[in-house]
Amino acid sequence: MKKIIFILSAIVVLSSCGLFNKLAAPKHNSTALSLAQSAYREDSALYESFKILGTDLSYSHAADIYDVIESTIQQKIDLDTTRKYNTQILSMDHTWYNQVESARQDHQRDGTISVNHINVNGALLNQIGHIVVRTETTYK
Amino acid sequence: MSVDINSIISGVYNDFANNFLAAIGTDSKELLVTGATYVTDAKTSLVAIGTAALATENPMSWAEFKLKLIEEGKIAVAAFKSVEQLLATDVQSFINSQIASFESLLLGQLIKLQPVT
Repeated sequence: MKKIIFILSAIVVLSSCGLFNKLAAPKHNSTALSLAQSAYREDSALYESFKILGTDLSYSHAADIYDVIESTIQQKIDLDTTRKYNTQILSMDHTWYNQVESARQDHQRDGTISVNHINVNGALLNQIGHIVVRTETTYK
Repeated sequence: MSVDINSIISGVYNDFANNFLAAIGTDSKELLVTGATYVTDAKTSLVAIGTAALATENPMSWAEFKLKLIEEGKIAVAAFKSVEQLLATDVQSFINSQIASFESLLLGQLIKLQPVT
């Protein structure tokens, strides 16, 4: 009887190990979640302020904030590089970083940010930030 | 020793089936909520891009419209990757808990069948 139980358990464990290799995800990491939430708060606050102030905010006044957001995402990228099974989350991080950089360049070209860029880049940054925060929240 | 095999089998089956279906239901609900959130955000972005392209004053140029759609496409890929990761993390914890639950049910019944020494 004990042999049967042992063999059954061994089969289950071995077959499940094979599956985990194909479907693995990083484990929950509170620092990675905190960095994602910070960057999300920062870019949401920046674009909310544009909606309140209108198109008056010049790039020179916002440049430091873009720096802070990019620095926070870069810290997350550095941390995620050390995590196991990080291919997907790193890809999401880089998409986010590139989106912030694209928004920064649009603002820099505008001088004072245009209504189109407030609405479009605000929505795109909210979308990618939400994806990364939710992903980090759902890791178990 | 008289053993009611039918009762043992149906007990193990019923308990396992209930646990299994309840766990799938919980994970499916989480996944649906995540998917719905991503779809809502994507709609907001696409509406913003369309509104900017069709604005009567200073509409977005065709080149920039295409660029923003490409960026939206990259973010959509990030959403798919997020769902893939959510499925993976759910599958890991789901399989772990189901294996533990099934082993516990099975071992509980097998121990009862052991002859008393």
